Amino acid sequence: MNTHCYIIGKSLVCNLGQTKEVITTNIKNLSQENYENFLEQQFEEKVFYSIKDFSNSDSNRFFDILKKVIDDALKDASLSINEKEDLHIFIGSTSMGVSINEEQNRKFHDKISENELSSIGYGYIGSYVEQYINSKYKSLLVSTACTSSINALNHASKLIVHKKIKKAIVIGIELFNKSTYNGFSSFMLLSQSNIYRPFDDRSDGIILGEACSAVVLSSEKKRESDFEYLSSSNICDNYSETTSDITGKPILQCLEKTIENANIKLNEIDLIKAHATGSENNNTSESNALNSLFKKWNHKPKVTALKPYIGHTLGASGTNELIILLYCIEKNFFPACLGFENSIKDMLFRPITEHLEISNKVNILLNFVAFGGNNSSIIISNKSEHVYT
Amino acid sequence: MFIHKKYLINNVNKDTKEYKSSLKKICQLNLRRASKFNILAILGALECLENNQLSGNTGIYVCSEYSAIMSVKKVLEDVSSNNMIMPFDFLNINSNNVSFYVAQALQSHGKNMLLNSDELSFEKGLEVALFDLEINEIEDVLIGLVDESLSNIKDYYKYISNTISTPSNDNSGWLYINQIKEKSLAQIEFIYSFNNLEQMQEIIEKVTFDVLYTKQKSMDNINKKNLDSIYSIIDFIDSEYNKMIYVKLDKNNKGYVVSVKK
Repeated sequence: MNTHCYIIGKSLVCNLGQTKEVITTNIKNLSQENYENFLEQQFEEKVFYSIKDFSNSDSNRFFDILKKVIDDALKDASLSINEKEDLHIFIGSTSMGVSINEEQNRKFHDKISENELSSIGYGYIGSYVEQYINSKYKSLLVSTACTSSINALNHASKLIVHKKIKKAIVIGIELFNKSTYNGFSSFMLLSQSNIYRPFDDRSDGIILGEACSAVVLSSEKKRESDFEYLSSSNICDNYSETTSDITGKPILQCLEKTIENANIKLNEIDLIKAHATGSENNNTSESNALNSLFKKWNHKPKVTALKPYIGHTLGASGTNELIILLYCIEKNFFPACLGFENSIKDMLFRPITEHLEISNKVNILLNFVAFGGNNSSIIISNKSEHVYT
Repeated sequence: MFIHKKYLINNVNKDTKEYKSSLKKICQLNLRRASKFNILAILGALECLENNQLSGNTGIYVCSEYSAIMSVKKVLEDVSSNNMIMPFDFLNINSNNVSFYVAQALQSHGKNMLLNSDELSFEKGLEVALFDLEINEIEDVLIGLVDESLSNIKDYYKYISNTISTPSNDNSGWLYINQIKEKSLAQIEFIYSFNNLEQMQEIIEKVTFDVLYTKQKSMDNINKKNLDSIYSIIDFIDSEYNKMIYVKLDKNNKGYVVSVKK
């Protein structure tokens, strides 16, 4: 007999702000009309969605941001001291602590330090979180590129559903580092127009961002509005290190498996949050997958994408985008897919181009795609009538 | 859960070319630009399976303490020197590429991932893998602990915890596990985590075993062997003993007791 898994706490630090109120106000104020102005302001220093207000050294910045999201998520979840100690820790990231190692290596080259590295391996990040929240348990760091934090969250949720654990904190962290930024540049994957336009016929690539988020999961609901984890799926294809099978079949397989696992129909899904990196390959493969899904069910749910707001935050995009969406839903709207106007060739659906007011409870499907063919999706719901099978 | 195959590479620091040469004999993939970390993983995984076909839904779990550290160091040097980062160097620091390459080499379509947990990466990875097996998300597990030698990093011990047995060696140990008892080499009876020494002691007192594998100096036993993690399981399978436990702790006395019998 399985149990339930609820999202009882959440927090996010990103370019848009550090609280639900500020982040959702900023999102709500954005539209297709002022989107390009917003981007110009964002990219004054570099074409990157940057977190403001944490201007210490890379090392201090990393841990200050990490502590902030942990503190805020725990506060949001209203956990007692005993409950905090009972949290199992899951961390998803692509670059982990590379920014800290870059800073240390720079000091070594500048002859300020004798140490050329700050660390070998990134397990220390987990140990830091264990000590910070005084958790009894050993942390797990998941590396599956851009699906890292959503895979961490899906695994933690399943452990709760199967009664292996009762509570968990899942952290997604991705902060600016030159290794990643220059690496993406070397692959010529970054936008040249500096306008993020997923699925649009003028889309010309990815714009990276940094953000950190934490989600607290529990087998017990804290608030009536808490979302429940319904299902997930993780399917890998070995088409290429850096691109998805252009037909979209593995992405489709992952989406179908998640819907099947939730024991619901596509017409019960109120919104699909696409991965939507804006790369040529993702635009085509993910739209092909969604085309096939919609054809099969003869139904087109609303679709949106969130990277135009915070950039592509890679391994942290799972928890980051989940929280943005939950924030917006709590403010009774689905955020628009900014930058979208005209569909790419053969795309049979149109993402929502204006914020959409909602009044009812919803089922949400979030899709993520990663380097290394790692596809993951998740369905969450705040409709209480769902019964586990 | 039953162990069907095992394989271990544990060498002093060797040049990548030597591993590539061995790999060429058993793998058709073009891995010219792949890092030593990736090559070690693929070689260990393929040798473990001995050309046997995987089921359609095998989970591949690569556990590592240091991940692709030598590739990371190369890119850090490029960044510090304001050099361009070459595409293949970037791919080699994208650490989950290691599990992708293993999946590609084995033509596997199940899930694959890289997992890490300070000083307990293999144990945490094994816990994840066995859970996925238990809930039938996968049919088989291919799990490895892979770390390349750190001996090319000056004073590497300054940057690491008390982690794997031989950090100056190239390590790639692998197990193939599923729920089929027939023809298995050994059975994993349990994997228990503990949060302190008292809990560890309670677990150990409740189980019987012929041989204790641990690197803890404080734990005395007539049949104690100074190994742990995947290395102890592989050693046990080749030994005369019938039932083992291994105990591994991190610096905060959190850890795991793993029991395996033949």
